[in-house]
Amino acid sequence: MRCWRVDLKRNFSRYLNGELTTREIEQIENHLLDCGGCRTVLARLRSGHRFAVQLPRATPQRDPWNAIEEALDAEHPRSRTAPSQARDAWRAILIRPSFVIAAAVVIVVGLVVAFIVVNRLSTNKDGENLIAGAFELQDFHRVAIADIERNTEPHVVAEGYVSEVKIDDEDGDLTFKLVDDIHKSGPFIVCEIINPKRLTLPTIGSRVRVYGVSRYDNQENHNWYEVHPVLNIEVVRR
Amino acid sequence: MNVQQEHREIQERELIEAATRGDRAAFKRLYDLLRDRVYNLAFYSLGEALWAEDVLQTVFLKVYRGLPGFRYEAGLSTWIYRITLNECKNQLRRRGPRQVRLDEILGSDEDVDPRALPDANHLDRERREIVQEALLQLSPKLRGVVVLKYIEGLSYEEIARVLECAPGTVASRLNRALAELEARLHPLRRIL
Repeated sequence: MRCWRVDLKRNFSRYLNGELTTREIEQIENHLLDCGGCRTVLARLRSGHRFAVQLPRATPQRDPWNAIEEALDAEHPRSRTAPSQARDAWRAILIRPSFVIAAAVVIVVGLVVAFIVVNRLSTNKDGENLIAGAFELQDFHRVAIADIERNTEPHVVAEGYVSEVKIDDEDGDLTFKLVDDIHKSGPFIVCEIINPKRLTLPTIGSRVRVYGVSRYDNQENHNWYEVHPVLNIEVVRR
Repeated sequence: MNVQQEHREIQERELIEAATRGDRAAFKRLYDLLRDRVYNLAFYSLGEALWAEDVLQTVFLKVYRGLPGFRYEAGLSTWIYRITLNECKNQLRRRGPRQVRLDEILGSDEDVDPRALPDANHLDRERREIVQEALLQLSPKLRGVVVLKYIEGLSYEEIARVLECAPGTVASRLNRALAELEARLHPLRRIL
């Protein structure tokens, strides 16, 4: 015999998703005791529910941000002012071959000098603040771990406790989580050191200040904010 | 609204205001927060990755243009989901629905080597693909509620706001969707 309790049947998917009040659950379960038809319907929906919870999240293969930005630039072009005209004049000079060769020589010499300077700094015998001299630390934007989502600055410094230190077997990178409280779960920043030899390696539980480049990792199973690469670590408290 | 939701809403408002003033980095942050959700809904509405990527682009351009007029009557994600679904409807009207049969991804008996031992990850992936394909055979209306409920995790009331219908309608559609999914996948229940 067909069951006319449409009001209860309508709530079957909510029942399966655990979104009913205690009273509503009781009403349905009492009804199921007496109604074989509804028991059959619910069994089918339960099976469908078990399939639905397996649905994978689809993620894009390509990131169309560049195309979006180009379209936005085309819709909102910057106006041609005297500074932009001056920029065009400079561009004409910059692409001359003689200028390109001279610039290449200067860059190569500059890289060699920088390499020598950084190498000297990295052999600091104390092993702390190893490359601080290579950067202006006051240019890093101070950000709280809980506020990293709102940050729009590329270079940041965040302070917190070190938890979950890991070394990647494949590339030797070192990763750790920076948290406000190592005893509670909460907001965190994943910090990745690309060349661990050059920096003080943090110990779990120590309080540190981490300087580096802020980014968002939207890989599957990641979806977190990072300081990557870490450029400097200051130990505040061991 | 709990503390986390309040915090998220405050963050969204600040980003919207900054983006409306022309702060491209703020808009990029909004994009980063919402991109995967928009793509996910578009993919399941249209059934094809390339279409979904096109829609993703179109949606965020519309979002950028619409931000100055956004009034916070519904949440930001509710508004963006609506734009996504409308854009997908437009695409389907223009191009027609995707036609794929479940047996196209299941293969035939000749394809299966009984001696091979697939690893667990491979089997999991196949199972998920089978369920995904079964969902893609449902009508766009039914797919939408399933995606918003089972992948995006919205409540019935939130889904009702996105679809601009009553929560009871959402519940009915979900019942139908689950029944249809079950009907299509019942023969495969031993492997799923």
